[in-house]
Amino acid sequence: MTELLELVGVSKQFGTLTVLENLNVAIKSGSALGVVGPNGAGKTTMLNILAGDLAPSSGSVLFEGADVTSVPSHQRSRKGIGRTSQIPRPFEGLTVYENILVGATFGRGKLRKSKTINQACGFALETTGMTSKANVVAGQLTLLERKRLELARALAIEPSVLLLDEIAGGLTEMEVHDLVVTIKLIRATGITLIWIEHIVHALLEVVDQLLAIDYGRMLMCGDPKSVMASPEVQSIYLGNE
Amino acid sequence: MTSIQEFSVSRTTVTSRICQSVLLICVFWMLFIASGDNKASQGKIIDLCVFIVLASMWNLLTGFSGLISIGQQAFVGLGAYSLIVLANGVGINIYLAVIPSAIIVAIISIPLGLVAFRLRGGYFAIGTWVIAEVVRLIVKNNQSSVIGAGTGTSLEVPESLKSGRYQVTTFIAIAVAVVSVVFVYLFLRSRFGLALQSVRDNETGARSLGVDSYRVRFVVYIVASFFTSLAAATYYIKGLSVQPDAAFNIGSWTAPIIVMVVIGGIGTIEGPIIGAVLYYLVRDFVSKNEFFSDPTFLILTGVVALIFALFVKGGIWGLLLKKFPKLTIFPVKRRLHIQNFEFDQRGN
Repeated sequence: MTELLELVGVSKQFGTLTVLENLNVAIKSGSALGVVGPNGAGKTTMLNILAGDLAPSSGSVLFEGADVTSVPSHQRSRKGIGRTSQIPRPFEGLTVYENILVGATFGRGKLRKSKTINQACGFALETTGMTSKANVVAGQLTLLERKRLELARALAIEPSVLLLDEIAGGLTEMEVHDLVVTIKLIRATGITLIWIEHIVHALLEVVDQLLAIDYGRMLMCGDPKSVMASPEVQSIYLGNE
Repeated sequence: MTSIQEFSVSRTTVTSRICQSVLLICVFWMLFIASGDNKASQGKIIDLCVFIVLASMWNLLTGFSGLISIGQQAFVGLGAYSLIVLANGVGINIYLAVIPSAIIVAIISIPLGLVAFRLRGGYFAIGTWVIAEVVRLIVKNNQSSVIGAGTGTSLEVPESLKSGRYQVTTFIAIAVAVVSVVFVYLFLRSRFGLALQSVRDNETGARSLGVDSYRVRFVVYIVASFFTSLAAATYYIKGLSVQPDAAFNIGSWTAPIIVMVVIGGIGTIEGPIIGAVLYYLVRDFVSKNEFFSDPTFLILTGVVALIFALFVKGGIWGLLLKKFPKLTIFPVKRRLHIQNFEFDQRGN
């Protein structure tokens, strides 16, 4: 397996505040990486840098071995980096189908045949269970539906790697369970995953690697069970003795 | 799960076909007046058509792509002066100069856009106004005989074109209005329109799905400049005399445009047309009354627009849609159909 997406020595400062410090992360094609850490640890900043919504202060981002640090987000999406955001960003004036159509149409460059676009839309609708909601205007969706729409749109670009930002946050236990089933389905199609999540048990059902960060630095990265069992990570979640 | 590969997408509805036919009848009625001799009615049709175009273009910018411009008068004035330069200066037939003047303005709008697009949101809005003022001052200080500096100049109509000028201009105005509205409609139905609406609703989200938001908005800016100046050039074939302070006046152009769009219904194709028609009917109705002098009329329309912006966000078209949800003249939405499958009917 080759490294699909990499952060090399990435740091990010907002003014004098250091949010990420010399972060090195690599994810192999086909694997699933979970990211945990307390609020303000820099998880979302890391994801924004991977997706191209933020530029790192130093360091670089590699995709399929090529430096994409200065590639803007819309071009990264065309290369195959898909993302969902913590606070859903639906196009509220468009229907669910049209929301997904945006990703299917523009996600992979300019000239796509309408047959390919239709297939991408169909796949995204079906996988996320949004088919029956296709004609609903996105502004009328519930939180769970909005989260599913985020997922569906990102899937419609047919990404090689999907970045998920707290997609299970704010959902009920049952909804989380259903979402995990969906994410497993996506994982089974061979899409590489990077998933930030506070709901650890959901995360552990899917990921094969876990990264724990705190104060913008990597605490541990490796087998999910041993990362969760380590004293440093335990102290973050349960407090010091 | 359903066999989703077999879905189909529909756009037009029975209502939209009926409404379009009604609209077509209105166009024929205007064409009928255009072929007659009633200069007063022809003048009104020209003004109305011009403002339908201006309102539709401002709506395309603001309502569909989230670019708030309060400097559309820049392109009205530039359209007027391009016409003057091409007709009086170069000597092109006044009717044939209309489209080339709009093309010239579209080209000028590229560098202007590069400046304006460095700003965002409210700053962009102010920037567009500043640009309009700068262009006005440049024109006003141009002492050449063609431009005529602050006192302005008049479009020279050759003797051979003098008779029937109102007729021809009315035909041009109707054509410009129809082409503009149809263009906006097809534009919004296209892939590009989809990108445009996604950028308006959430720019970051659109970018993460591969939409080049900068390019999309820039194209719209140039398109709006083109059609705005096309309408302006048409207007000045009727009006003939051009002064910089009038042609680049925010109060005579952009302010009424905003009022029309807000009252009619922003973010819809139908809204600006309804707003423009209503504005003209009301203005025409009260123009005989001393009480509704220009300042009073402006203040009153401003207050009405404010009330609409605060309490009736969808405008008149929005109110109509609430009463008759199936009503549509220009259907842009895509509806998915799958045989023997029940869709969630929320909002339908």
